[in-house]
Amino acid sequence: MRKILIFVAALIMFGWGAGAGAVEMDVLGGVSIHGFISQGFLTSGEYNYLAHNSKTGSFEYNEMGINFSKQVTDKLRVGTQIFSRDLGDVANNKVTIDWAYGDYKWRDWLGIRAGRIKSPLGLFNETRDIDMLRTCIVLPQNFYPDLVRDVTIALNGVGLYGYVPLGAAGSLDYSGIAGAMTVDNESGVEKYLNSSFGGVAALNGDVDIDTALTGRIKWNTPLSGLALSVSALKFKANFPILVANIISTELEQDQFTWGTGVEYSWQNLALAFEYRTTDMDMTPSGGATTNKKAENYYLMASYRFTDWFELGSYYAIAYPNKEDKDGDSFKAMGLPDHRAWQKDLALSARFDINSNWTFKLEGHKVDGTSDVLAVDNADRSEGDWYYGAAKLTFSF
Amino acid sequence: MNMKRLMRIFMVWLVLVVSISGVVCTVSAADVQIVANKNVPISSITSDMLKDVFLGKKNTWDNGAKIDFVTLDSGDTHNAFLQTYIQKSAIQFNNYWKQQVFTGKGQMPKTFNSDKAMTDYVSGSNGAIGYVSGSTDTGSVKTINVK
Repeated sequence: MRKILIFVAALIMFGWGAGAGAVEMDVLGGVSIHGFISQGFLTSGEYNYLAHNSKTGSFEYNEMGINFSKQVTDKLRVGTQIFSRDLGDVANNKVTIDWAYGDYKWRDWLGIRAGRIKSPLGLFNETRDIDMLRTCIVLPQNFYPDLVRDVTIALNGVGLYGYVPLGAAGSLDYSGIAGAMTVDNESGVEKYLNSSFGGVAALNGDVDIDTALTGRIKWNTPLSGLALSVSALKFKANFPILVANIISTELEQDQFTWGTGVEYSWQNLALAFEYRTTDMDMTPSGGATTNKKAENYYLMASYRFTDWFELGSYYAIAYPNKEDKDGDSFKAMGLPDHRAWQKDLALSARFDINSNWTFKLEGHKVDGTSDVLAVDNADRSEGDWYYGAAKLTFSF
Repeated sequence: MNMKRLMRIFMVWLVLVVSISGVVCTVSAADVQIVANKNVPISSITSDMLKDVFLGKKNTWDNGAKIDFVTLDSGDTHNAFLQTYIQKSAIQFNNYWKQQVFTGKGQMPKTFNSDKAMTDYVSGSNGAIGYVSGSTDTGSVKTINVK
């Protein structure tokens, strides 16, 4: 299946020729076809980050997708996107259904979608896999973690959405989804969890997530270019765990995430700010519940200087435990306090070679190691470190 | 401490952007006419509604007919229309529609490479709306006043 996808994608992208537009309606009975292939390179100084081998430089960093959609009637659309990615030793270009749904738009203010639908959590979750839609290569990992992408990316269920003009007060966009969440352990979730267990326990089977709820309300304010949004995600997951390679048990995670976002664009300038908090109750089988609250925020700015050149930057701050921002609990265990936070300053340059090709370069200066995995890094004593990325994308 | 650092970074960005924007931001003020098929049940439109139409948020005219909005693919008229009525650059507008396409929410708008091709399409398509330069012959279509 993977070979078929790659073959079809390559055939369409390169067979139609560089500089080609999308395969549009009327060519294939009203079916539109669009796609993208991104090949990246990750490199880092002190730690292996994102890819298990980034310290030596890693090309195991790509995304590709192809979508097919058709406007069946004036109100009904159907479509699907097939997606594959690689990130170091996870994902490994397994072919997945990124989204696949029918969309019936009854009125401008009310539509219904059914199928596999991208979660509208935050400003970038729906478009996080599509590199050419933003300035940076690596999104703030405290909001859009690539290793646990599966946990927030989409729901299999039903959603309502709409657009409500408010006259002089602007307008509202809303979207809400209820559905099941599917998590593929090989997508990075297993690696991330096992690393956080610190070798004491390991994931021992499929993660089970019952009905999850997610949604976003966005207020397009009367001030042109300014939008404010609130989004949330709630789910309960059961993780089968093997403790010390002997005891089989379960860990229940009850999670509620919510956040606010501010977007402002003026001419060639775009600003974005997000704040998010996550409240997690963790309950081992027959054990007591422990609670942890995470707090994250970032400020992002980008400016397009010419048709082909754009600069961007962001500063993202993560506190996995907002009750211990100074790392006192780590210091008490004789560990570095910088495991309590991660502060990532990124600078990105984007070059649009033509309407189909985009090339980006990016550097990150990081303070803290809360997102540095033990499984890829035996020694995590250094608090300040760097990583960089480059990515070439073809889209049509 | 963290917020102070955040604010410092923001201020550096702001100074950089403001100092550069005065040099590079030049928006064409080309004359633009909004044109529609003669069956479209309006003769004027608010700028907010026009924006909603071209961002795919308003899909039907008040008589229930489907809105078929179309765009030019490039040029001064295209840039002026987007900047004036949609408040986006051509690149931002294209990116907006790519976001819709790659999340399954919409299809890229039909584009035309000349005013003549635009008016030919609009005149023959129920519910169609587009824009052309001020000097274009609009005898075959309805000219829409923007309030």
